This record gives sequence, C-alpha cells and structure tokens, in this order.
Amino acid sequence: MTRDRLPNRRGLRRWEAAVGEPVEELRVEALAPASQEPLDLRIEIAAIVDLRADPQGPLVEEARALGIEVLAGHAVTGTGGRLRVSSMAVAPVGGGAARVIPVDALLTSSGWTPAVHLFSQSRGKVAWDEATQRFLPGQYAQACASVGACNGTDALADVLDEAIAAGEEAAKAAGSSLPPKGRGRPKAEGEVWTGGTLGEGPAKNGHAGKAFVDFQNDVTAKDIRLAVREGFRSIEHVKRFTTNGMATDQGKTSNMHGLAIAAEAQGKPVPEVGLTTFRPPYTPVTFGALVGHARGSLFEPTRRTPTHAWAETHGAVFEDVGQWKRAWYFPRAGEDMRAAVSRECVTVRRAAGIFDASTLGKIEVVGPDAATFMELMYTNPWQKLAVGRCRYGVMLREDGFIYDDGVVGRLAEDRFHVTTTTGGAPRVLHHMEDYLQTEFPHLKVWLTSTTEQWATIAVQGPKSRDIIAPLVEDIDISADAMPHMSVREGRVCGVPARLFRMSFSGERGFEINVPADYGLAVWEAVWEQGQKHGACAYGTETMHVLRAEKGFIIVGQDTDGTVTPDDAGLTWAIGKKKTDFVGIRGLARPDLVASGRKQLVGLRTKDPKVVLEEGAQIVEDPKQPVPMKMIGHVTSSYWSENCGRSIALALVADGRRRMGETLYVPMPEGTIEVEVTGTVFFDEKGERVHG
Amino acid sequence: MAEPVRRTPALDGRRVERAGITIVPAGSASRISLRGPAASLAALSKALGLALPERPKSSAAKGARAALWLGPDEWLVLDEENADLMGACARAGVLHSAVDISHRNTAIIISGPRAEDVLSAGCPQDLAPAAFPVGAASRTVFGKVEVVLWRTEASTFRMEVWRSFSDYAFTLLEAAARDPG
Repeated sequence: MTRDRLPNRRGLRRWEAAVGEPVEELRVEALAPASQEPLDLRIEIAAIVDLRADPQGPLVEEARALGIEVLAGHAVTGTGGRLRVSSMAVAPVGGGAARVIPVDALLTSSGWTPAVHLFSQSRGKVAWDEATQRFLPGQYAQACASVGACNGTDALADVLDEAIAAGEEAAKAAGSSLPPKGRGRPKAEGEVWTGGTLGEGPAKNGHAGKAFVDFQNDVTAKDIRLAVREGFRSIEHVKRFTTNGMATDQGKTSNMHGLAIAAEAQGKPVPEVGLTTFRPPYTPVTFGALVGHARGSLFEPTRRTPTHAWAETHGAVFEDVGQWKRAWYFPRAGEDMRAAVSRECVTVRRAAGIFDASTLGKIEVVGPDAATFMELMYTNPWQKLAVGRCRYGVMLREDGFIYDDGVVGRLAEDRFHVTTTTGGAPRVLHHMEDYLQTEFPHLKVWLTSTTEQWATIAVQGPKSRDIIAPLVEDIDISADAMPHMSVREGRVCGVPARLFRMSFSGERGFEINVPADYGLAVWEAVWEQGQKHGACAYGTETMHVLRAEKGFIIVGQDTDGTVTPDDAGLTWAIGKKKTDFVGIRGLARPDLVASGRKQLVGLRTKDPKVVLEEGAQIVEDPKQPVPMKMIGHVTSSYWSENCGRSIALALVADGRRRMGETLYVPMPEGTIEVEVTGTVFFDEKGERVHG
Repeated sequence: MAEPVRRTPALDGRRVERAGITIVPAGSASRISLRGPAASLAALSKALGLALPERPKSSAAKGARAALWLGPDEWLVLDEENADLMGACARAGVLHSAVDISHRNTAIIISGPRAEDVLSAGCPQDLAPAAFPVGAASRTVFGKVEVVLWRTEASTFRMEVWRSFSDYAFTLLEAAARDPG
C-alpha cells in the first residue's frame, strides 16, 4: 500500500538515520530539498511499489528521474528472510507471477488520512468524501476553521489561499476593520492528493499470507472479517473485538483500512459502518510532559511537623504515616530498635516521655448546635459533657462499623476540639461535612480543620506534671483542679495553649497544644524540663506498645472496617439513651448482633519470649487437616519490656467467651500456643492515669 | 507573664530570585476561618472594618486586613499586623463561627512579570488578568496541594497554604521558576 510519499524521508531528515544499510548511488539530499543541510547518507531504493495503476505527482516524477524503479499497479505479496527481511515478493495487482527483489528494509505507507482529530474533538461531525475516499470536516460544532491537509486541501497553493481566506474571516469575526493585506502569496508547489487505496490490498487474490491492518496490535484483515461474521456490526464493536486501532498510534495507520474492510464484509458503503472517535493525543506525548514536575521530592508532598528538625538532630528514625514523616524511635549509641523501644517504654512508665502528636487530626466544631451535631456523628453522648472536660469518642459509618476514634474536648458550650487518627484526618472531616450538608443542613454548626494550627506535645508518665508545671501559666494543673480527661486554655511558655489532661499510654499525661510556629521552642523547653526528671523522647513505636499494654485500640490496625464497637469491647462508648446517631440502625442488623462475631481479646504466648506475627491466623485445633478453620487473627503484637513478656491483641470468634482457653497460631517454623486473656496487660485497674 | 518563646516559621530563610520572578515567604499574620449565615454579614463586616465579599472569586482589603471569599458562607480573613480577629468577630454578637488558623496557614508571595506563568506550572485555574484580575481570590490546587490564591497586584500573588504543605508548594514554585519561560 505504498503511497506517493517516501516514508523514510522524514526519518532521514529528523533523525539523520536511515532504515536499511546505506549504500552508494542515491544522494538523499536530492530527495530532501527542504532540508537545511544536505544529509550525507546514501541509501539505495530497490523499488517503489504502488497499488495504483497510474500514480502521478512531482514525487513520483522525481523518483523516476532518479532512476528508482516505480512498480505501478503492483503489490507486495510476501517477504523472505529469517529474523530480518532479506527480500520482498512483488506481483501485479490483477494477478500474475511474483518477482522477488532483495531488500534489507521494507517501508510501507498506509495512506494520507486527513488529521481531523482536533476538529472531531471539538465535537464537529466528519463527512465522507466519496471522490477521495476519506473523511473530511463536515458540520462544525464550535467556532473553528480547518485549513489545509486536515480539510482535504492538498495542493500547497490551494492551502495558502484557504489559509488566507480563513485568517481574514477570523479577523473580521473578531471585529477587525482593517482591509485585507495583499493577496500576493508565495509561489508554492507541493504534492497533490492523487487518490488512494483503502482496505485490504487487492493482492490478496491468489496469494497466501496475512494482510496486517494494525501493525502494533497484529490485527489482520481476516480478524476484521471474522468480527463481522461474529455479528459485530458497528465499527465501535469491531474495534473492541479486534483491538484494531487501539494501540499507541490510536489507529492513525489502521482505522481507515479496518473500516473499509468491515464495510466491504458487510456489503455497505464506508460511511454507513460508522467511525470511531478520534482520541487525543494526536501527536505522541512524552512521559516527561505527562509527569511534569511530579518526580523526586515533588512526586508527593512530604509533611513534616514543627519539631521535625529537633527529632532529626536527636537521631530519630522516621516512619512514613501517609504523607507525614513521624519519629518512630530515638535510638541511642549501640541500641537497635528493640533496645531503644524497650528503654523508651520503661522510661515513660518510670519517669516520663515526650512525644510529638502533632499529626493527629484536629477539627474544630463550632456553633450553637455543636453538641447536637456531635451526638449525631459519634456514638457517645455529648450534651452533658461539661465545658473543660474530654471524652473518648467513637465514630461509626452508616453500616455500624467503627470509622474513627479520638479524644474530644469541650472548650465552650458551642465549641469542641475534636481529634481524629492521623490517617483519618481528611476523611473524617469530609464524612462530617457530608452529613452536615446532606443530612443535617438545619444545624447551626461549622467545621474547620485545625490539624496544622496546633503543634501537639504529649508528656506522659508519673513525672509529667512536674515537667510541665514550670512552663504553664494561669492554669491550675493540680490533680483536683485538672483531673484526667480535662482541657484548659491558658499559656504555656508565654504563648496561647490548649492543655489537655489525657493519656494514650495509661500514665498520668498531658498534651500541650500550641500554635505551630511555637511548637519547636515549646518542645525544647519541655525537653529541658524533662531532662531534670529523667524523661526521654519517644516515637510512634513506643506509643503503640504503651497503648497495647493498656488494650487501647488503633483504628485501622485492631479494626478493619468490619468491627463494631461491641466487637472491640467499646459498648460502654455508646450512649444508651441516644435515639439517633450515624450507624445506630446499622448496629441493629441481624449479623451485627448475632453470636460468633470476632471480638477483641488479648493473647499471651505460653512462651513469654515468643512475639507473635501481626496478621497471623488463629486456630482451635492445630492437628486438624489443612485447610484449617481459622477463627481469628493477631491484630497487634509487641515485646513489652514493662510486662517482661510479649503481648498481643487479636480478633477471635466468640473471643470474650474463651478467656483462659488455649488456642494455636500455626507458623512455618512451628505452632505457637497462646492463652486468651483480657486486653489490658498493664495496670489493669487503670489507677495510674489519676493523681 | 512569661516572655513568649520564639517563632519558627515553616519557610524560614527560603527565597527565590530569578529574572522576572521573586518568591518569598510572607510575614506572620493573624488568620481566621470565618463562617456564618447571610444575616450575620453586615454585623461581621462592621466588626471587622471591611465589607465581607459576597461574590465568588472576590476579596475585600483594607489596610493590613483582607477577607477572601471561599464559599457562600465561608471567608478567610487575615491581618498582616496580627490583630485579634477572633475578638473582633466575637464583639459582633451575631451567629458565626470563627476559628483561629493563624498558624495552620503560611503564605508565599510570588511576584514579577513571570508570576502568572510560574503559578500556571501547578495551577489549572485561568490566571489571565481577564479571568483573575487584581483582587481575585479563590481556593484552588497547586500541584498536589490545596491552596488559596489571591492576586494582590497586577504581577503579585499571595498563596495561602497549610504549613506542612508549604515546603512542597515552595519547592514546586522554585522548580517552575527554573523552567524556561
């Protein structure tokens, strides 16, 4: 299907590289008059094979003048060679003996299809031009003009006329009153459309071999005819069945031929079979253009807390939590992770520890209906929570499963400081905003993310009050004045602060919230005080271990979106007198109140030194044949230096009825025996948070 | 009362200066997220000393203070002299929600003849003067983060961005400033 263009020319000009071995005889510069510099490549063109009976045009003349054999009315019917082409067979279109011509490259051109893509993407409708067998711009949908080859105008002189006319028209439409400039157009000569061949080459008659239509997706003419036989009529269906035109060239070489073959097979004219959508990009787009600046440090934002630099200089190992970098643990010289975490865990319970909790999500819920809104969003009761007090809140989805949790402080009758999990911050705000706008638009309440307003410095441990006391002004932090689960506004280190008395460690603890720009300086001041009392800085790993020792859950670790408050042992957090909250109906679903649900329990390995693998499956009888019946899995597991043994939390079917039972965790190295226990491993009475 | 401890702004010391473009962190400012119904508008405007804008993509500024329209009942109010905006709104005595976000946001000033181009490297919004004239403001995206963009002068923009995203935003601006024009 060679047309009146030499496809190799563009490659030669653009890349200065030729397909095939350069040999003598033919100076390419003669074929590339537009090239600025003559190319010093010489290739021999064995023949130009043209399906048309009588091809005409300047290029054809030029080829002939250069002594290139132009085989009109011929087709390539086959190739020879192994792993690379060494010859081509050429035969007359109407049938006849094939002639074998030695070649080391065979270039094909599938014709000159007007680039109607932009027009088509502007929702214009193309029209079939029977004379030239091609689709051209038809009905316009937008104010645009097609000029030149994309409009089916082939001769350069005509293109220039058309362009000038379109330019004048556009200028007039834009309100220009200037008379058209001189019409004198440059002397122009160029190639002229001289008709083409659509569909499968006629050479198929009497010749074996596959007629490839889509060279990238290896779609043959036979495949397209098969699609029609299978009942696919619309070209859209033929395309999807065969994948014709679905490669990276988006059908630029194959669509028209595929369409013509489908039309022929259906015995219909081409325009009746339809046309697939012209899709962008028309020209190749580099991955670089798609990626832009999104690489390296700009691939994804890295979020750092106000105290990040301090943690870095104090040797913190960081972990990624979403986009945040969080201090994971603070190893001292010679310590591995387990040694560092064990030391941090013991130090917090013996003296105190300082922890950066700034990444916790914070939402300020403000308005006269704030408490009503909180009642609807959380399972807990809020109306009677006194100003200055805090409560642990559980948030459900409509289906009754735990969605998020966090401590909420009431700052005023109409103002709550809500905290969320680090990862949950954006989705909890969206969840609340969604309900506020769609279900409860009558409520006078507004939500504002304050996650980044506050740097949050947790000071946990028996010495926590002594550490912060010298830094706190105008707040009485004595045990009586500021009990566990309370919040006060005042000043810390001379800056405005929201001081929470709360604990995720089970120890007496405070969380100091100060405006973020002050976070580093306040942290340094707390650290200085902490040094006097033997405190350490601790990271997220120690935070995890300490909370597990107390049986406090982490949403997303000990829950997986299928855990109800009752499953997690949090029934106490549901307001018994409440008649409505998001998830109240879900909680009544039969499968959520059925027995046999997985419940959160503690596990103690019979060998206290063995630390279970998180995610490990639990079975009742390790001797049962494989596949065993799995009745639950380990959700959290750590070495607890404070307990002198390993500890674990697990979701186990009917877990709370199994206290004291022995269960088994089959692992590749052998089966581990565990005892089912309560979820609290340390200070079971919970006395240490008080006082 | 103890002397307040020092502030450590997120973009301390960052600065880009190239032909046609200057990118610097803005100084500290007090900021509130102000929410409220239409009925409260007049009283809140009076209390703040400027008319809260009611049209999308618009702002009002007076002296060091400005209010940017972010939604039908939402404004970002900022004061570059760190005035007490919470207090001012409280004194209005009408239904509203004001939340202090002075430290949640930080701001970047992008100025120079190339400011529009540099911002367009990461912002899909049409920033041409006809569509985004002086005084225009909107919540939009810059690369992968949410920002509030405000055109304060013909070739000066203020970008309000959450503190922990400011490093990303500044680094992207820096990269865009290096792009050939």
